[in-house]
Amino acid sequence: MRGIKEFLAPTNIEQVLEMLEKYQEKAVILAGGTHLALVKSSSAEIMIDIKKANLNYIKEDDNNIIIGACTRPVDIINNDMLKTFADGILVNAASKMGSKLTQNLITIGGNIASPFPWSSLPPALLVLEAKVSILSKQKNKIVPLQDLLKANPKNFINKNELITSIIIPKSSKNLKTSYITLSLTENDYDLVIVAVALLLESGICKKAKIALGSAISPCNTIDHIEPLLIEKKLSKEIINNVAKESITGLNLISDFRTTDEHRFEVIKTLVKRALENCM
Amino acid sequence: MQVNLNINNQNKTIEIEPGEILLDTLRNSGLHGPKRACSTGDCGACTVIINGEAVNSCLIFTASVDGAKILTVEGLGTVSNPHPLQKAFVEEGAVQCGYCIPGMLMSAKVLLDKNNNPSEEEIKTALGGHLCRCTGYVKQIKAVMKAALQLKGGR
Amino acid sequence: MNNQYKVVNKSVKKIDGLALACGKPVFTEDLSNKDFLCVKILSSTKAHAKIKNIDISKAEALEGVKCILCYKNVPRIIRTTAGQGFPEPSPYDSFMFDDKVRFVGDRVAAVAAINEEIADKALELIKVEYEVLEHILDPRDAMKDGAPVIHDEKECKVIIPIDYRPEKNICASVSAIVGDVDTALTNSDYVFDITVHSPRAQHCATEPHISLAYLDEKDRIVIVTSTQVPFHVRRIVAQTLELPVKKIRVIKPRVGGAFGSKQEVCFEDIVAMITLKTGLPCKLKYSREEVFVSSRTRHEQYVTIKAGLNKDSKITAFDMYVLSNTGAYGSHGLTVMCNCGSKVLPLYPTDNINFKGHAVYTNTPVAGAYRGYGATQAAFAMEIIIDQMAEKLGVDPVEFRLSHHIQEGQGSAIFQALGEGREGVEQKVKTCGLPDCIKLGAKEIGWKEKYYKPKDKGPIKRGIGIAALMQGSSIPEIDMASASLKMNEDGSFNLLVGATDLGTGSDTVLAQIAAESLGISEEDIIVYSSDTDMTPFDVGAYASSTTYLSGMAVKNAAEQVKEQILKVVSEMFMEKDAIYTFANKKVKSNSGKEASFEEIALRALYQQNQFQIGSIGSAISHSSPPPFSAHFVEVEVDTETGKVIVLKYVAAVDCGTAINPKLAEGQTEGAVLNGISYALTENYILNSYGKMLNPNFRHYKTLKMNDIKEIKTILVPTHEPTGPYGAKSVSEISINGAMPAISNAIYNATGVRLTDAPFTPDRVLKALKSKI
Repeated sequence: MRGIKEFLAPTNIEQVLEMLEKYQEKAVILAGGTHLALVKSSSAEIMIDIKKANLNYIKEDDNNIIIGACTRPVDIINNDMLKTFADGILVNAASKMGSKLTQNLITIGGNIASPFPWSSLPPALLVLEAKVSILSKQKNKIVPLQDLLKANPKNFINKNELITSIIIPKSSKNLKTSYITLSLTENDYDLVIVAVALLLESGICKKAKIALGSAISPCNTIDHIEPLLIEKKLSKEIINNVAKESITGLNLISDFRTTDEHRFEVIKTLVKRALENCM
Repeated sequence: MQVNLNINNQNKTIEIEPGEILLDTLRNSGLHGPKRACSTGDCGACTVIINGEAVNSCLIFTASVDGAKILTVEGLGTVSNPHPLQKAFVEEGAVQCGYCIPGMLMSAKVLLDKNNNPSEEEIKTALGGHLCRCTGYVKQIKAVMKAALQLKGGR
Repeated sequence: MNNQYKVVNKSVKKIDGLALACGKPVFTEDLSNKDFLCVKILSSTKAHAKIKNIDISKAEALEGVKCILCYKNVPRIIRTTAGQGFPEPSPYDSFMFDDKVRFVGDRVAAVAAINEEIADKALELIKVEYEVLEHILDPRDAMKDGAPVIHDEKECKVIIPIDYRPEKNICASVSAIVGDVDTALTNSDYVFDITVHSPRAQHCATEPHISLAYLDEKDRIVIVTSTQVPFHVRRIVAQTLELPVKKIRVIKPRVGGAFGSKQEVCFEDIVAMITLKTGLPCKLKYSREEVFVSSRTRHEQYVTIKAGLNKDSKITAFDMYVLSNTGAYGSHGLTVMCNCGSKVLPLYPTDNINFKGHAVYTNTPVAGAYRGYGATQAAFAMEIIIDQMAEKLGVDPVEFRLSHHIQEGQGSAIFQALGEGREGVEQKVKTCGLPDCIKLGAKEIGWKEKYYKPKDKGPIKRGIGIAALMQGSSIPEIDMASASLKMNEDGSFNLLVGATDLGTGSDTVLAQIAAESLGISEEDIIVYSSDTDMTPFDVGAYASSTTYLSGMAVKNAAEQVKEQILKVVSEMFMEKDAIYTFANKKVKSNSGKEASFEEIALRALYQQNQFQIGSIGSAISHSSPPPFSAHFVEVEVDTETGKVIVLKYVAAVDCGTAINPKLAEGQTEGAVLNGISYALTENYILNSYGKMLNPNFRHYKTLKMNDIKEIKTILVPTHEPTGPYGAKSVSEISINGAMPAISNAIYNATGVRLTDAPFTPDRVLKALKSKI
């Protein structure tokens, strides 16, 4: 990247925040680099590499799982705890990101701070009701991921702020989940992503979250169909109805990768299949 | 600025631009294995091994890997002393134009270092980031299996 | 497998394989250094426009800029960029730089600077004033009244008699008539009519286009370039720069794939001009985006076939019409279109054939050569029609093909009617392994069990399909190859060939042919190829000609060398009427005397009646013996999402003798996967302005290792008498099977016929829904 005059590699989060406070829009944050490396030249003069600032971790406390912003898909895939957490939905989502090569580079923080419609993690995180921790030198904000995506991270996160971790409530541990996508090839950005998380008690659905990726902007949960599942025992009939209703009122992104008509059909199919997987 | 890199077991101190990309640094330092073919991290021709992981060097800022241990195909084996993977690729007819091979060998090495008996599916997943337009991948899968057998049986 | 051969028909290791696997500096870019000027091209953002003015002054004044080229400061010489034999059958319709642009991505100017950063800055400082013109993107609009004329320059022309009407945007038309199709169709019991659409596609060779140029110590221009056609490059660059051919040398090092995209002078003329003007070495390498937009693509085509069939199973007539979109310039426009007919129509003999076509200009990326070369697009239509015929008669599609394909000893009127810009050549098929290809392939895929099984009940449906194919081996009476052999004192040989190894392994295959002839190991053959100063002439790697034609040239050279060796031997042994055999690097007499190659060479070089044992052998072909292939595919169709997965693909190929079986399989497997990718996932997405929206691997999808399930190759040997050790070609044919076989398989699975490729999930789902 041309134009960068100085490369800084802070070794802890306090240093990072100090630098962001100091440089603001003069600085560009380097996490995974998979987007930044494509930028030929920049008006920013300082590059701050946050990968050595101890932000790559997967921890748990009493209430939450906390995943550091520089955690990569490969780290998620290899984590024993996440393999069984909520049916391993995060591992499923992480496995769909990029290729085995870029899974060593992409960061979860970068995936959220610069989301694309087809970003793989947000739908899985939304159904787990994830929150995002955003730090600056002065403030410590915790924001539901859903709100962050709605507000557009590029606008919401100030130049002196940094996503430091994703927080997932441990109460999501026993949710029945399913994560299904449609793409042209194994390594392709998905055309449609459906993530489902249900709280089932004796077969009755007590809580339901269904998120849609690569189809609507921003990635979001389909709230209007959730009531159709609550207090119901899952059956083929109910699932078919929910699937049919899932596309009502959706504002699809329009892209050259497939037609609206097709997306609507695929959303219905994937919602149906995801729910059937949870049955 | 300067960075210290251990490239193919040799310590080097290299003068770079702060925003420089690792692939360019490697090629400017005289290496020819990693190649620029797509610049978007989609083809794997630039793949190197950094601290034991196979990554696209076209997506990495050199300054961010200061102090790292980097392996390119030149460090894997030579014409007079090739690594079993290199031998197997040639013997099985897995090398046609050869442009994608240095990168693919890096992913194959990482796979075999971790898993000395990979299934066909595991090979396909591990090497799935590499674009080869010449071979249809059939003989490359065979070559990795052959090399795995040879490595298991002692070099 | 033929056990009569020692070297041929053996899977010897590729002679450059280990160097490639060790990352040796053998590609064009590896041969440059920091002293080479960085050349960048300013390309058009307009689909169709006149350049009213171009101001390069600010860019020229930038420190570090050494040269800027545009229409104002280069000679205005019209030529074709197509890498074809002279006189080229492609129109002369392009200049190094013109004052008009004809597609988004067309050349406007070139900058040479001491580094990439300065070159990029200079590009931004060039000011271009465009007068935007109306544009056309759809080939079906090109010939309409009132369509904007894309080539209105007074200089454009054809140099052989071709129907060239640029005022109607017609780059070429073709017409071949055999018998009386109209009457035959009228009298047929059944008439079939299908139109298929094949999209534009990119070869996606891993190595982007790249050329270097520098002046040698005699001020000759040396071009080192990733090309399929070094001799055509030399000629066309000489023509464009108005220099004699002797002032230019073209060298092709290792090439990282080409598949037709480098059968073209993409920018060798530019680097040559820059080095001439500056006296400095320079390098031009396309970015991946530029490869997509500004190099070459496959011809988008609409192919219509009408066919007649009688109840007694006789095919009464074929009527094929091709509308070929050649893009903004006409390279390969006529010849790709001719191939649609010549490589597809003869497969199923009939007495009445019409073949017509138009290759038209549009304001889109330039189409050129791409593996398959028209046969791909036309086989798509033909193999569907054949399936429809079989269905009509209630006959198994495998059986129908077995009973209708061309047989050994048969010819086709089409062979004579369709050449490459001139009349074709009459020929009879001498070898046809298609019956075994079909039978063995059908067995391998499990045809009998799978074709007749009841349809799957759930949303996931499996189906099975077949396609039968033929191609050609070289262009008869037009293409020439040559090779020179010289003997060294240890009994090894230098083999110099113009033939171009693109990673295809031709260096190895040609060494095997030479070694077989001489009775030595291929390790005693030192190959050097594709250098216009050092190696004798070869048209280059295209038309599936290297093994067949260049191989014959090598064999001819070897035969001449053997005669010279025998002359020395007869002096050594002083025998009358002896019979000599060549084996194990020795010549043995039936009297028992023997001499090693080393002894013979030492005598000839140093000792007695000295002369250099060596020769040049040339070859042209008088026929183009077709390889044959049968492809079978099992697919899984998800009828709720439209996604199609190939579960198993079987390609059975008759390429005569496979000189190197592993390499022949490798060519087949690579072509098959490219064909599957072309059928399912690849597409140029142009906006209404002609700008490509997906010029990168992020959004132009090709299949990778984790996409394939099972691909199986079966080599079916025959012995082609006109080919070296019985060989025919193998490298193109197998890209042609996937589109029709997959379309047939989807039909078998779901009853829905796809005729518009690629068969992306949205198209499949739409077709499924409209059937209901």
